[in-house]
Amino acid sequence: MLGNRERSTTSEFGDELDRALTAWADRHRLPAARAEAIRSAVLAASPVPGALSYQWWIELFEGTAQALQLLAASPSGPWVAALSVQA
Amino acid sequence: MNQSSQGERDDDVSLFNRTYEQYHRPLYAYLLARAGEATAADLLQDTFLHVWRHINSLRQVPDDRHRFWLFSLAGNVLTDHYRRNAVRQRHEPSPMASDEEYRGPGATAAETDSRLDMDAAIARLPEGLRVIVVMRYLGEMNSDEIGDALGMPAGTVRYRLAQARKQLSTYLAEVKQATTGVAKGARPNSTARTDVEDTRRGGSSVAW
Repeated sequence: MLGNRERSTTSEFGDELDRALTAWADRHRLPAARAEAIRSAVLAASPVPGALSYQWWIELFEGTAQALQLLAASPSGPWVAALSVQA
Repeated sequence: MNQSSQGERDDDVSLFNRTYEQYHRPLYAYLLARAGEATAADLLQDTFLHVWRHINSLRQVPDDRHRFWLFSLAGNVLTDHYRRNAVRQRHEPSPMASDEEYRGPGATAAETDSRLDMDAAIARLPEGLRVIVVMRYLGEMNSDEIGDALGMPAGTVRYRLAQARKQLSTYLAEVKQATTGVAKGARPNSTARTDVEDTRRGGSSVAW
């Protein structure tokens, strides 16, 4: 609410204007859902312009780890043979 | 990702979230006053994107200078916006296209008129006064905080706020008088009347 110094200007022009301005402000606030959407969108963005996002790197690391695990668990024959054919 | 970098990331997110919670409303008010409601949210996102990308710079700013740092950043975002669009003084008025759209549930025609009048009154203020009024009421900032944000003495803020309130009162009184005159069948022949009607239709060269 208004501080003491602000209150002096309020009384000069009346509380009615103050109430009207407060009502105006209530109608123009940023909705909470929009504010939260903005916060989330910014945090999901890359911390460096032009760089890949944090989430992209996480997914890459997870995908690579899964691929390595699958590779390590699979029999060596097929992919060694595939490499030999390409060579 | 190792534990150290994950910890740094958590610190960054924590600082960002605190900053966002404390400043997104005042910054939104500032951006709305200068650029209009149609673009204020997008500009707020741009501003905080810069904050996020420069979070290490923010960490080095003393706490009592955070507000000035953030509003300077928002000012730069606005400058970029104006440069891109070259519409600084040609913004659409805030969304008050029609009485039907603007009238809230249960609002009477008189209440709707009153809302339109206040929108038009604020839109008519010179930008230097409008910014202070909007930061005061929409941003819920006191004179010291507005002064910190804009880099001006609190006394100047209070003086401008008083000037703005005086202009708003004068304008709203003109509207009331013009409306009463029409209701009584008086001829609306003054220039003030024409000005008022143009503004309520969004036809004046308001800056937002």
